[in-house]
Amino acid sequence: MISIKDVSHRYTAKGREETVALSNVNLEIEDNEFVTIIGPSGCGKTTLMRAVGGLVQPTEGEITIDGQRVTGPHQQAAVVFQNFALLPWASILDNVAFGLELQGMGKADRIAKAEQYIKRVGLSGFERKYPRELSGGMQQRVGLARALAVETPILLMDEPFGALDQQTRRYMQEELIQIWEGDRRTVIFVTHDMEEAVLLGDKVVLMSARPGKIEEVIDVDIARPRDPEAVERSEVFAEKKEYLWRRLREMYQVTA
Amino acid sequence: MTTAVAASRALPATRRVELRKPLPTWKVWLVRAFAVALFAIFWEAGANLADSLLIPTFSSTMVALWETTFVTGEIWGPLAISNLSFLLGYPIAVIVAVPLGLAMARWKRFDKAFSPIVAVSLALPIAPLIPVVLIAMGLGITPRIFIIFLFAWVFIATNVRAGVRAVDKPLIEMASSFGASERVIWWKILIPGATPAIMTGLRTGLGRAFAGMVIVELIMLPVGIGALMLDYRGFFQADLLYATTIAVVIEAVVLAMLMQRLERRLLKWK
Repeated sequence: MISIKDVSHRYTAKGREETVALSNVNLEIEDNEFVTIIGPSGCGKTTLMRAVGGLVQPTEGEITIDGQRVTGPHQQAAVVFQNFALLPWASILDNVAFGLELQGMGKADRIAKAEQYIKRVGLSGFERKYPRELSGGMQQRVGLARALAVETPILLMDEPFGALDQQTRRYMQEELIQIWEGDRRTVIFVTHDMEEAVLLGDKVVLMSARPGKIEEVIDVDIARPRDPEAVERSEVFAEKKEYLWRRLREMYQVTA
Repeated sequence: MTTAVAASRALPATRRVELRKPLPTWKVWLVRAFAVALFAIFWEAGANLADSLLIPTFSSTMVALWETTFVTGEIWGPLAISNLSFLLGYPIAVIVAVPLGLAMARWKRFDKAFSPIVAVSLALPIAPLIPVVLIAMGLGITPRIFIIFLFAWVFIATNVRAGVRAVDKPLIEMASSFGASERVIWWKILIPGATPAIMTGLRTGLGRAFAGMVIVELIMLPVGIGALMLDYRGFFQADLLYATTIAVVIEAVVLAMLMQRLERRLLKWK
């Protein structure tokens, strides 16, 4: 279980006023839960996700994972990055095996494991290719496989499909649902796409900006396994999406 | 539980746009041969027209080149002497400048400390320094090595620095998220990422070191190939002077080509 208690984060960029990225955030995330975080830009959603991964040390409050306090990057979580963050000089196989290599896993073992996850994300046959030879959607599958391969209980996804075109994004969402339902982890998924938030999440965490705080946690009571097309036709989906938009619109009216 | 979906359903990989149509290899060589032939014809005609003791024809230069390399072999001794200082000076420049460039890129303190020296060295012509160096270091091989070092180091250091600075920051964050230590970040991210720029620096530095080797022998310290060229000039042996120059150029080109081959091998992901 991830427990976020009274977390605030402020920082001062050079020559600017202090920014309050997070203010008094409290959130509990159960094991194997899929949580999406949505909010206007500047609401600290990415900061919150990074704090769980130990990439940011919040100035106040604490985050614990199964009772262990997070003080830096740790072996409990793996991150999927918005811009893929693939090593351009390494083959797909080496990219997927990168996290395992850093863990000190032997060559034969990590290759076997990397191949297994390459297969899972549907990239068999591309092991020897370099990232630039792949499309954006395929590159993000590599990013996903790399994060899955280290087999951490937590997966942190930072707008992973944000850089993809609409159709590819939609297709990747479907695949992510399938992969996740077959291999459950705790997921924190940051997005700015309302449909994506509802389609994927068990819970949608709605945040507001300046200062970044949690407005509401919305349960998405749609059963698993989810059939994306059926979900999209369902009333619950339309209802949740509408509700999210209403809340987000209020926020924009306040700030704009 | 595995859901492998055929990757062929994903969008096709992007292709690189070629600005120019590629030429087949035989055509490349044909064009090159044609350019050289054209140059030779102009040279031959021009030298015949000028009819000067100091301007040899292309054909006599080629004959002289043949003689000095294969008949008398008198180029080899001096060439070896020159290359010895080059073979010591250039690696020293690499060994000093690569770590320096890396350190400057990663630690502000190094950067601030060395940036004035780098700025001065980039602007400063090295040739006027040669007499000063000779006075300080005498006439042995040491001043020659030092001057070659001076010629090369700053171009290597600045390229390495720029290369590391240009490494994608998210890659560093990605590596830390997987628990990478500083050492791992160096070996797995910064150095591979900076390799293209490092290679550019090594190549530029190689050319500069080679130029330094010849210049020091020509203007102040007549040994090796420089002394040989000065002798030929003194005896009005223009054909041998040109032939020697061409031999030096050939060596420089061969070194550059070897470097390029190494670069291609290291950067096949590009």
